[in-house]
Amino acid sequence: MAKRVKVIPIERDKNLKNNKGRPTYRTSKSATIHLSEQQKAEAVKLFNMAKGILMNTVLDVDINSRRMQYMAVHILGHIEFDIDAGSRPLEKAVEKSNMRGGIQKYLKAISY
Amino acid sequence: MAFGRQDNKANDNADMKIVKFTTMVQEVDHYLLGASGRAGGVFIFGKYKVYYSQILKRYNADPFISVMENIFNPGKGGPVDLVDETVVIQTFKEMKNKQEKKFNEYYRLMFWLLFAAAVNDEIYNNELSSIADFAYCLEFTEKMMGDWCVVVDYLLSGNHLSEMSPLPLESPEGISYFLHR
Repeated sequence: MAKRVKVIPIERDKNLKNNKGRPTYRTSKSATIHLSEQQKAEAVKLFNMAKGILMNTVLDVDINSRRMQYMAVHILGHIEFDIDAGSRPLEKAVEKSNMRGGIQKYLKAISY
Repeated sequence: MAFGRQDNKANDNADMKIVKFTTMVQEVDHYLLGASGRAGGVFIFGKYKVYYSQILKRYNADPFISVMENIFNPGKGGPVDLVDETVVIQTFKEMKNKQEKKFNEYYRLMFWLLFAAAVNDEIYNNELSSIADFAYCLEFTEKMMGDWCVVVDYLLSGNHLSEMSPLPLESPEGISYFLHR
């Protein structure tokens, strides 16, 4: 059984709009790109929680799962975290490949 | 009149490219689903789907991304596609019971995320960092990430993916997942 996780509350912010112009969620303890040590600790905590939600390791939460999904996506999508040590090499592996602009290569390949 | 005929021909060509791309994506996904032991059909990532759906939806002005969105989220609307909660719970239980299948779902998700990044430069520029974060969460290694990119590049070079594909894969996970060995 997964441990019970205390969820940091989120609130709907009428002034904050997603790219479709709809009101979206924000965490009540928001993290910014420029983080103090304390904020960084908070952000890492949020990140680990979002990771847990998306990896299905958090099964027992104090908030309905739909809201959790929004929050997890929001956190992973919009806050930068100091996890470069882990993910930066993966990003570099992609950059080393010839993958970028692959659609042009594909269109050329199928036109023959 | 001549211009009209040229326009029609250009449209036909564009349509044909979309059709070919659609077929390719469907065939590849069917092949990948074979690796997970499923017969194909519904695309369920459980909660992972939310992240993938959001990326496709955000960039669906690109006709090729729109094709992928139609294949993986047929008939869905709304700002973010969310799977039904009961389905999510069911998927939890299913994945917890079948570790191998769970990993195959991770692999499949990461493959289509990287594929989308290769197809659309905006996704590559804006989302690559978060895709890499996500890969890290899913316990991908550098070799695995390289292998996944090799396969994306191989397909976008006009090749077909099969067990006999001459892919220079390095990770055991990549060899097992893409070449079924």
